[in-house]
This record gives sequence, C-alpha cells and structure tokens, in this order.
Amino acid sequence: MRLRDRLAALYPAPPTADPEVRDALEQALLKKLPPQRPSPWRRRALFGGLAGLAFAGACAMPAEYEMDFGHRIAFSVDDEAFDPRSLSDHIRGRFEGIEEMRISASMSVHESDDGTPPDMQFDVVLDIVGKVDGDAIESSLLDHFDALTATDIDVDAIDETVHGTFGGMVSHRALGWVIDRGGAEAARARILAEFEAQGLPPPSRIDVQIEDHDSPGRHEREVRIEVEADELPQR
Amino acid sequence: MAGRLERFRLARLVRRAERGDQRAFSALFSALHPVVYGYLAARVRVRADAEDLTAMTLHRFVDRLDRYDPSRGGVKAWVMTIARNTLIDHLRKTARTEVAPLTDVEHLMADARFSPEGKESDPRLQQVRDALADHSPTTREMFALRYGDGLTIVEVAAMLDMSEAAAKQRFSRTLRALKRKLDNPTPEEEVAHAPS
Repeated sequence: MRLRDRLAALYPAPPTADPEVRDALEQALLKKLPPQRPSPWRRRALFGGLAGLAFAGACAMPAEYEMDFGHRIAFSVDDEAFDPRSLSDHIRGRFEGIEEMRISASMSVHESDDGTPPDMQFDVVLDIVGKVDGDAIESSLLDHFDALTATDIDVDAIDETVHGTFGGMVSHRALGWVIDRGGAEAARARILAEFEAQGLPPPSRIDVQIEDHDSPGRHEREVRIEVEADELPQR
Repeated sequence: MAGRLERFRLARLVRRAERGDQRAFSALFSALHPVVYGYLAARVRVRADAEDLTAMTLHRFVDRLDRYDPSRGGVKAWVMTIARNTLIDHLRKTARTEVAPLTDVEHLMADARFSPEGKESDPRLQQVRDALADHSPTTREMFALRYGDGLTIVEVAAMLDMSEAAAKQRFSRTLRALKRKLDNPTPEEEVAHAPS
C-alpha cells in the first residue's frame, strides 16, 4: 500500500447528508436570493449589436454550443530529477484511445539572498484528445511518479456547453485550442461543422487570420476571425 | 481532481446567483453542499450538529455572495473557510461546556478529524498514524483536509491563510519525513507495529 493510500485510509469517509434536510436547506437558501436581474454583459452585447453592423448584431444573438476538446491535465512539480518527457511514454503505454497528445513544460528557478537553496519548479500541461478517462490518468500519474505526491493535479475535461453568443463562440478559448493544434484550417472546419450541426447553410465567408509575434522569451499569437452568414446558429 | 475550469465554473455560478439566477444557485449548491457537509460531519459527533453547522455556513455564504472576489481564491476554498470558522466557534463552545477546557484552536482543529491517540487495526496504518502524530497540529490539519476531505493544496492553503508555496513546501517536507520514518523504523517501532 502506497503512502498516499495509507494516509487516505486514516480518515474514514464522512456520512452522507439526509436528502430531505439537504433539500429543505436548498429551498430556504433559494428564498434568500435577490430578484433575478439580467447580466450586464448581455446588455452591453445588445448595445454593441444595435450600434454596429449587421454582423455585430448577429453576434449578439444567443447561442449554445457543446464543445469537446479532450482533456487538459496540469500540475507543478518541484523535484529537479523529474523529467516531463517520461510522461508521454508512461501515458501512451498505459492508455488506449489517445488520438493526440501534447506536452508543454516550463521550468522556473527562484533564488533568494538568504542562503537557502534555489527553488526549482516545473509547470507541466498535458493536452490529450481522444476518448480517455482523465481521472484514471491522474491516478496513474500519482502511482507512477513519486514526485507528484505533494502536488495538485488539475484534470479538466474540455467538453463545455458554451452559453453565450455566436461571437462568444468564435472567440471562446476552446476555439483557441483548435487553432493551436490545427491552425486556421482547423478553426474554419470547426465553424463550418457548427453550422452544419445546426442544419444551417454554410457561411458565405469565414476569414481566419493568425499572426505570430516572437520576441526574446515571449511568444504572442494574434487571432482574428470574421464570419459572414445569412443565418447564424441560435439557441 | 477538478481543475481550473471547475473553479471558473463555480466563480461564474456565484456571479449568476448573485444576480438572482436560481438555476445557477442550485448548481452551486449541488457542488458545495456535499463538501461542506462532509467536512463538518467528519468533525462533529452529532448528526444534527453537522446539519446545523452546514446550514449556518451556507446561509453565511449566501449572505456574502456579493462580496466574492475571485482574485482572492476559489469559491470552494472560500466556502470551506466559512465552514472552518463556523466549526471553530462550535468547537470552542463545546470545549467550554462539555469536554476538556481546550482553548487551543490549532489542537481543536487538528484533532477534530484525526485523533493522534487513535488506534488502527492495520499495523501499516498505525505506523502512519504514529508518524503523523509527531507533527504539528497545523500539519495534521493540513493532511486531514487534503487526504481526508480531498481538498487541493491551493484550497488547504487558502483555508489556513498561508501561501500556496508554503503549503506545498510543508506537504513535501512532511511527506519526505514520513516516508523516511516508515522506511527506517527504530527497533522499538518495528516491534510495536509488527503484525500480531
């Protein structure tokens, strides 16, 4: 039994709540909420739509999108012997269903003047696309890499339902992932797929421009997307 | 372990609930109630007390929804801090009236979930319990929050008002010390923890 499991076994699971008591509390709390008022963001969006062009007005139309972009597993580790490259081999060897995986790792060293040894920290992010169990990968990492015992492992399934506007969808960070992975063509395909999924005629124009700006120690990517269509996806 | 997106989701739900969105609040309640109740029920003996403390915590949370500041930490850490303060008040009152005159909050909080004198039937667990009992009350509380309540290091740090780096360092150092001790027991410890 590993130390992590032994520690967890020291603390018995707490009892579960009585559903009736829980529901009564929820109802009591709901009564305390203020009367509903609209989001200030929506008001701003509507104002922008009225003041702008037809495209801007269309952008303010509400829409809802299901997006599935795999998993992001992120953690920091301060063990200088840790080799992020070993992650890829470990995960590929143990899990099926991974279509694509990207590892990004950065290392920072913090030194102080008080004579204490420098603090070294890796920040590692795994982007995994495919039908995989993110929690199983997390457990596997903890079992396999002792250096991760004292760290938080964040597992995010990137399959959000985005509630917002079409403009919000194209600027959503999830689309940024598509662009990072597949460039402008992938973004264009993703937008076309969204129209097709909702049974709409394809847009007359999809313009995706990506500009990379590199300077020492810094990389910036500027993305500009414009879509023209008679009809835009709606809720 | 839920990650950054979950933290963003909870922060968004707080914003919507603050504007009176009942669906958002129900989603928030579903996410937070089990954690709050589990934390409190594991530390007080009477079920009714756990229910009362949970209600007090979540009422305070709703009363302060408009004061939530995402730059100061996640929603879960925030509500758990309220739960911890509610529990401290309760344990202080209970200690004064029912149990020994304990006034040291650190000991109260460390031992509410983990009694250093407790006994395990499995000698391997007893070995870990004994090793952990040598550490400070704050460290014992940190371990209870992380391994007993399943909170992240960031959440533990926020609840105990320490920096993430300090919490991480203390976890690392204690885990190394525990591992060393478990790998190299003294002859007396070997005898004490030998399977009967």
